[in-house]
Amino acid sequence: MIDFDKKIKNTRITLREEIDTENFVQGVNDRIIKSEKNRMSTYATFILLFFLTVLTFTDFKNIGIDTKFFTNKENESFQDTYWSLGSDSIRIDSSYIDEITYFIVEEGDLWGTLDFFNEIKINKESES
Amino acid sequence: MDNDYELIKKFQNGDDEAYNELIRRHLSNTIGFFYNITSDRMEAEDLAQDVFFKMHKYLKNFKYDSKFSTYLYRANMNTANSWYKRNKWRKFLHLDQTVEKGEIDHLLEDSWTRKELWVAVGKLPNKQRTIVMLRIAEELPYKKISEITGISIGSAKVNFHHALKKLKQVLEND
Repeated sequence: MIDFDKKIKNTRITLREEIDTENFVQGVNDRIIKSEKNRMSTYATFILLFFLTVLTFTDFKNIGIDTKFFTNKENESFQDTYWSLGSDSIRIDSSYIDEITYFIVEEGDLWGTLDFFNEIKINKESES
Repeated sequence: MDNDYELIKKFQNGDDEAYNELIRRHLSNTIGFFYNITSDRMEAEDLAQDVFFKMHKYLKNFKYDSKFSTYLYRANMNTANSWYKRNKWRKFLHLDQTVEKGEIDHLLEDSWTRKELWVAVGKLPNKQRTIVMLRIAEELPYKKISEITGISIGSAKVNFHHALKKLKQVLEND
């Protein structure tokens, strides 16, 4: 075993050739710089992907614009605005009749008011 | 002239030239160590470059609780062990070429070559392989080996003895 140990130790070799130290150091530095650049571009790609993902998702999301913003609240008092055209408020909503009566009386148009009452009467008669 | 600790401190404070000086100081030992294991000058330089490249990142967190040389030996050991693992896969996938017996091999041994010795070392268990590498390629005393590997001197001796026994069996029975 001792002979084998010596034999193994004799196999140890030393480099005979000169090592180009400066070239080696330059090689290590180049590799460090290259790896740093790769790291930065990887980070940049991830950040870009993150923003693209965020922008993509927010684009499809309901951002909650209040549609009432576009309507004029004053015109809604008789429910005859564009938004309430789907229903016939004369027939189904008695508050409409009350409101328009008050309006005509307050405006002082007596004949108009009488015409309106007459119109309601005719409508009721024709319905029955 | 700055010692290793001073150079590391300078490097940690942002002086990259201090790191280059550390490389210059320890380069021949590092390449020599890998040259013994690989028997290939180019491969030895590549492995040494791997060591100094990775160390550039980790040295920023150096704690000064051991000598830089011990730290470097550990890095060399880890790199050599990774190289052995990589080689196993290369052999498995038949990516390497047939072993060429170098000129120097004929001068040293009659029954087995140096390259065959290091191939056999690669087949040893991790702990034994590490101790054999430090003992043969670096010619380190058991005390230093115990410091690097974190095992006791007695355990290092026993492991080395077992490793030699295995190597003898493998090399002289072939």
